Amino acid sequence: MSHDITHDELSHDHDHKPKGFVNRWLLTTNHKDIGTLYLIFALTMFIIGGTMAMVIRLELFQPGLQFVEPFFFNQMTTMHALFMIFGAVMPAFVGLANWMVPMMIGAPDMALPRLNNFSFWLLPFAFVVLASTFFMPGGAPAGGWTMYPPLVLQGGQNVAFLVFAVHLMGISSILGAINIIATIVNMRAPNVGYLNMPMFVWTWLITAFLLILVMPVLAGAVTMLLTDRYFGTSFFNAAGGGDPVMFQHIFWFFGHPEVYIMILPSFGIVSEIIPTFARKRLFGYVSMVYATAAIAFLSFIVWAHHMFSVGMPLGGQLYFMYATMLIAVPTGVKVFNWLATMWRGAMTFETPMLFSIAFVALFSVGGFSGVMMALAPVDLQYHDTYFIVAHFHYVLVPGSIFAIIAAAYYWLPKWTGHMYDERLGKIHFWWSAISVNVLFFPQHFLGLAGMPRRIPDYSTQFAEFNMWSSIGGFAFGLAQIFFVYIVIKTVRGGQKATAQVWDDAQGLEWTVPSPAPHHTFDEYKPVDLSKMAHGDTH
Amino acid sequence: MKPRNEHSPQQRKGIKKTVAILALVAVGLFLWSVYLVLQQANV
Repeated sequence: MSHDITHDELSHDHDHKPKGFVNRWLLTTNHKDIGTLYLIFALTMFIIGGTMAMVIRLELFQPGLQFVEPFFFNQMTTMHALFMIFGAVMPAFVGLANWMVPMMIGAPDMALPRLNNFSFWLLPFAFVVLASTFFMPGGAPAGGWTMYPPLVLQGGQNVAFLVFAVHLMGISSILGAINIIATIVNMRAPNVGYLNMPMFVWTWLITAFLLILVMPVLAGAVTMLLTDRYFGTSFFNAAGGGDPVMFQHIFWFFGHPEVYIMILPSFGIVSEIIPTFARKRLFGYVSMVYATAAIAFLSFIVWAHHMFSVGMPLGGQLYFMYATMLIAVPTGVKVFNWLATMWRGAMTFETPMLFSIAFVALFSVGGFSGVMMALAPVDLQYHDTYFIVAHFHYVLVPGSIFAIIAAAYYWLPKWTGHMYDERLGKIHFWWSAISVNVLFFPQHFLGLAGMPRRIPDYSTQFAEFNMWSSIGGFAFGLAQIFFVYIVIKTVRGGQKATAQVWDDAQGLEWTVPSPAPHHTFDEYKPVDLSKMAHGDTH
Repeated sequence: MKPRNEHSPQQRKGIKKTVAILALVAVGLFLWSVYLVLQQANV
């Protein structure tokens, strides 16, 4: 039997989906199914991590100790961060990459489909190992997600489980990143050059390089923590000739690029969505690519701005201060390019566009507070206060999370074949956009007034802003439950989506039917470049 | 029917090369971070 399979055929009865739950989901090698698994996993972790955030905000609603013990509170802050960073945001981006990257470059699947399955299935095990520490004597890790010794080593037997879980997550990320690079470098349709690739693919290519360059360093650092704890070494123990500050250097050599791992794919998503709803080509595509690469490069040479307060030579402070401020330049290029794309466009404000515009505005708020903290002298005041908490939550929540939500609304019709309910989507947007500011903006004032982070109780002068922050937190949490409802409703039914979905969307993903067939681009042949998304290269 | 997702010989070669280089980089960085600490700790 040999005939050319067209997309129309594939979309109906000849989809060749594996039969049975085990074959379809546990043993799958299909990039779309693995993408779906990643997205479901990320949403689950987001809800669990969000529940921990609710516990934190509940305890901080009023001064005094109301609901939880201080030690449990510390477990909540630590585990909330680990679940959100490694369980929600990163897997959500990998899920989006799995779904979209092969379709955007005209590839039939990822380059290494079985490895892809393995990368995913490591994650549930990693998080079961991590979550199991809640039930141990001594409880879950409580020394902060940064795992600084010697504090983290005082955490009972959870250290071994924490380190093993981080190793599993790291292996999953490294293998996933190798797969994404191998796919983008080797599997593009024959006439798709690097400068024809959509921005989402570009940002993911650069993100994957960041992952490969930093995750092994984290693995090295936590392995040494493990041997310090259980095998009598003194890598980070000053009494044995080691250096605890060295851990901070190694950790932040991973940690700062990690911040960009969690934001660069967002830049790619927003660069896909804004041109569609502004009905213009992306302004400055090539400069966007260079800006992304510049941000990635700079992310490797600024790590010690997280550590100004450890005491470092003046030359070191000046270097890390100026290098950090330099990141504002390529980031500014991106923000102005998005604004220029919208400028005089025939804009409409569907839900993905609303989330994208909010991303540009609110991510910039987080960016500005980042530049403030780059200043070494004033950082000594901000360090370990709620100002920091406000800063990184502005970058990660209305930044990364809003971009992931925007992507979900934008591509959900392509994934499910159904349009989501636009009215409910808009309600979700306004509910989230208002509550996220009520949640995080007051934390700037709390930090400037001196409230330390990671404390379950506080001075009464901080009461009012904390109350507002908690009210915003509960409202934002409820809004995301509403989002889950919208997604489930869309998966189960709704208005049929066309292949094109959005009138002016550009890109190969819109040339295949909705829902996307189980197999796309089966033949290795040139694609229509006029369908590729970006403007100034052709 | 032709098996799905079969890579061309050229793609197969490219994928092997990419994976080999990236795996070397990953392992190298792991060892480098340990070396850096060993050096700092005067071991």
